[in-house]
Amino acid sequence: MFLANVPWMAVVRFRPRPSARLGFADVWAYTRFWSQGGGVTCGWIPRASGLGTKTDLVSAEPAAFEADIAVLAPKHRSPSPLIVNLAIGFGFVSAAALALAAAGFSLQFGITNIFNLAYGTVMTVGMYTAYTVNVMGGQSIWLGLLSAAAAGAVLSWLMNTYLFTPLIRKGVSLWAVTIVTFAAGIIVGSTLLAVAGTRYKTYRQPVYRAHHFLGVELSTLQLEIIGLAVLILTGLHLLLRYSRLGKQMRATAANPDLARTSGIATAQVTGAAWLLSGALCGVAGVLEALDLTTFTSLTGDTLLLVVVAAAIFGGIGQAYGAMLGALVIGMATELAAVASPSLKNVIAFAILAATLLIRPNGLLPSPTISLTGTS
Amino acid sequence: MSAAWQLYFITLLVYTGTDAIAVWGLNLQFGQAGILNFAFIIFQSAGAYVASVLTLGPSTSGGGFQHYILGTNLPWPVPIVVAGLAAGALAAVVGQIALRPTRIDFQGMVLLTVAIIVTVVVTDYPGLFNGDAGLAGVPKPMQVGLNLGDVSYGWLYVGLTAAIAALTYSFVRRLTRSPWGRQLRAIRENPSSARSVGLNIDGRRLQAFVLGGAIAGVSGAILVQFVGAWAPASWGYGETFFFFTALIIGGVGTNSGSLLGAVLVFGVIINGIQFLPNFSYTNVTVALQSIALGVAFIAFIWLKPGGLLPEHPEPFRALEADSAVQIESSRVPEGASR
Repeated sequence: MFLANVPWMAVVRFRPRPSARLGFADVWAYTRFWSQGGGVTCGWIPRASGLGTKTDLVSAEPAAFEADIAVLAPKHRSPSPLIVNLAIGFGFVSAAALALAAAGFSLQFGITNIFNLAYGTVMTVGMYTAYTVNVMGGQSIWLGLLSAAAAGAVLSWLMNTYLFTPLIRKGVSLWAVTIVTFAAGIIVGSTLLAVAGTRYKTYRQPVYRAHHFLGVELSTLQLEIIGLAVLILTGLHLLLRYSRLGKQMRATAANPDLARTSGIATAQVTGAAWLLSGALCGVAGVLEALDLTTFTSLTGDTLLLVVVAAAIFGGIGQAYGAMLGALVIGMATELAAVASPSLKNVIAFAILAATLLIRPNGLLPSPTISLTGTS
Repeated sequence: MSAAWQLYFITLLVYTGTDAIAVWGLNLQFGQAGILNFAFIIFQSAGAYVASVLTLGPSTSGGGFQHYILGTNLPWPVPIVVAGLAAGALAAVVGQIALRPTRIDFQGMVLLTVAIIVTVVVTDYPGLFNGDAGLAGVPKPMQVGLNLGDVSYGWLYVGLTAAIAALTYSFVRRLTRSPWGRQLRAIRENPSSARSVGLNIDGRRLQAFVLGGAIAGVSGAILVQFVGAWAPASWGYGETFFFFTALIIGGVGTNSGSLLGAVLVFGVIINGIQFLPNFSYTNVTVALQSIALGVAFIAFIWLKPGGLLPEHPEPFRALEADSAVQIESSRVPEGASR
């Protein structure tokens, strides 16, 4: 077991890996790495991913790790306050990344009425774009994030302009376009699989400091993720509420025909929605990958589950509802992971199922699909 | 023909037969009732699992190296029947939740998340279904008693598969030609008008969902008894897409189209390549197959949305003779439901 030769690793708890389609290792370890300055980075490390061996981490940040071992064997684990606090921190980070993804998903659905099943794959494309810039290009992760946004936006826009819109003009029904988005996702995803393989990837980044707020422990990176998400979502709110484009988007979402008769160029508005949704998707993908610490060509597909759960929870097509859904599902999944780590996805699904049983069309359904709860 | 090539064709025929049965099941759900069942594969998988544990014997046999539930040893074809019933029961449970939203693409979305969650849960909780390892050593029906060689037994199995496929075909054919089938198509074409003439659209959809699920379970059972092993990785939710591709290429809504689609997609492109003797099947091959099928799917939707054997509009006299309800629903103008 690799833990024996890594003195700097503090293993707090174990969990089975969340996505198991690849036949990689069965156990993930939750680790904290202490640097000399008391810095901390948090994340899930797959045992056999290659990361998690001393060499990889030391080459990422030489001499940054001090010995601090506190191994809790899986059988003797009990949810200590430390773990719960970490989980709350993780909950905020997951919720932040998830909120971006769910808002983008809902925004695009609200305007175009198309369920985009390629969304998870676009997320993965964002992850790999950032990886290319960050690890292969040697640039900072923030530049990677920007390029992921661009890649997601362009890919989504291309798919809409050259595939979905022409099909709808031909009179193909919306559900058929839904399967076409699935097909587009499979094509892009398979290309990624052929090019990038199934190895786990991880971003190159410095070791971060730990901060404490009201007993919750967060690393600088986690704070940055939360801050960035809040910033972007505020921007999205201002855009939708006050800008001309935002008003046009809301009008198109409420009634496309009426919007067109009122002189709104709905085709451009739809294009803008795909761009915006793709950019949010790309950014969310990288933030999720930073939060999970590793990703593969299939990570986005698994994330689609929680994105859909959050979007449906909030009432599909409602950007604000999706943000609320993201907060609820992000927190619930991370806190459930304290009790039993593999409960994470089960909880997300349980919330989805409960929502459907009680309110089949989501928490905030409205007669006309709108982007705001108030319109 | 050498034994390797004979086994190749045996494998191909059994796979294509089971996939054709599965596509008929999906055609009932999607082609007839218009349900976007993106969780289709889990019903096939469930049927396969149930058939496995009903033939493997008690969990402690073979030194207890694998863990499973319900271990018994029932004679063929009981496991196949029970597998169908179990998959149908699972469909009834899933359908209760997933078919609640009013929009069918909304339902499809929920079904996709069901498929993802089932894949994740089955692999994450080895205590339930033995996790990633799945099941191995599923006995082939009647092989011990018959004492045949691999090749002759293979051809026998092809015959069994063909017999069950023929039974399934006549069953789905009767169903789609019955008033029940016409009600499904009325619901598919215009749910609002179907409801307005008094059809219980939720009930009909759920019935189609359960029947399609049961047929999927039967197909999984036949396949697993041939392959001899069951692992969650080979029943991933992405597989469902290939069943949809088969339907779209063959012809949505027609049983002959379903068969043609299954032969082309599974018999030729997927399994025809995968099982070639002396062929190294890599990730890149898998990726190329998926890309080819994705492109084929889009090309058909774009250029020939009805598929190779499209569904023909039903002649009016057939309706006249049978169901007043149907005539009423077809007379409701397009815009009236909006």
